[in-house]
Amino acid sequence: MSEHEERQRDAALGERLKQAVAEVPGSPNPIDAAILAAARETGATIRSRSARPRRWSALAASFVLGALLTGATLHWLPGTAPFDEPLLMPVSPILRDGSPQPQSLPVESVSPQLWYDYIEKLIYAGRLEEAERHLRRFNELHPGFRPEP
Amino acid sequence: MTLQDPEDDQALFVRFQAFGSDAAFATLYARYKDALYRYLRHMAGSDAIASDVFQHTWLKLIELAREGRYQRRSQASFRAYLFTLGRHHFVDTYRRGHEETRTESLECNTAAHEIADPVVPTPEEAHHLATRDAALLHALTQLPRAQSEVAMMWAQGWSIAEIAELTGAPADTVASRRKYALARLRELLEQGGLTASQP
Repeated sequence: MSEHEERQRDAALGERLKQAVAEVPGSPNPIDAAILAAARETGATIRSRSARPRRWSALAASFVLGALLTGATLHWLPGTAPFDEPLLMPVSPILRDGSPQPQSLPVESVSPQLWYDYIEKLIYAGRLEEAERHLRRFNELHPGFRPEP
Repeated sequence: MTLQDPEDDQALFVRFQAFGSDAAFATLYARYKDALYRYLRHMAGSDAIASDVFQHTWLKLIELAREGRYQRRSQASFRAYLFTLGRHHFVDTYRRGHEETRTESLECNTAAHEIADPVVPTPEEAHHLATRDAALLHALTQLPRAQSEVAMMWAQGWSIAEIAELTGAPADTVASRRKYALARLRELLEQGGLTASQP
């Protein structure tokens, strides 16, 4: 038997197995209900926490203050431009009209909520330096922003 | 996928963890609940054990979110993370020192189920198809556990690399297990008078 035929034979058996396994009952409804209820309860807890100032928001605020002071100092030094770097964020999945899509846009041109979501994701992705740069700019441009629940 | 893609599993879970989005969690749950349950049912051979491990796995995940301890991982998929969580709990709680737990077979729950073919089969065809699938699932339970696990996950579309991550075995070993598992399945089906190549 050739390698190609063997692969085809394996694929056919794999497909049969897949169909057979798909007929096995899934998770029972009472368990589904219990887990989703636990998730709702946790979701509510997390949302109530979000309504209060976040730890990292406070950290960001202090960081911004420090950065502003540092920036003010550095501004006196020749050849320094601490806040001039352009910040971009990926937006391609947002634009789905089929037109040529940019890979990223300046953060000033996207909605605060979208930008905020992106910063959260940067934090959870562990890209903290990048997140800090965004946070600094975000707090400058949207000082009174409250995240959506 | 990018960080902004609403369909990305990890982005959904981070959304649940960061904002408490029930909808994001429900989407993920609907996406994986049946596959995870079937996997655990297959591993445990018991609905009671599968249910216990299944609940524990999801509740553990919810707890991680509540405590903000889930870390998005660039290499591993959310699916692999979820199944690994379940597998570890099963192995730690039930399998270690209890190899006899797998006493039932999947066919107990499946023999009565008909196959959802797009063309409605005749009664004779339906009987044949049900027999064939039950035989296949029974044959799966006759394999060595490691081979059986690989065959099941591979049939569900997992890559060799993903199965290697789930089981903690090297990819070469997983590929060998798949090969032996399929060969053994064919043998078992032929012994039962069913050919592996039937459509």
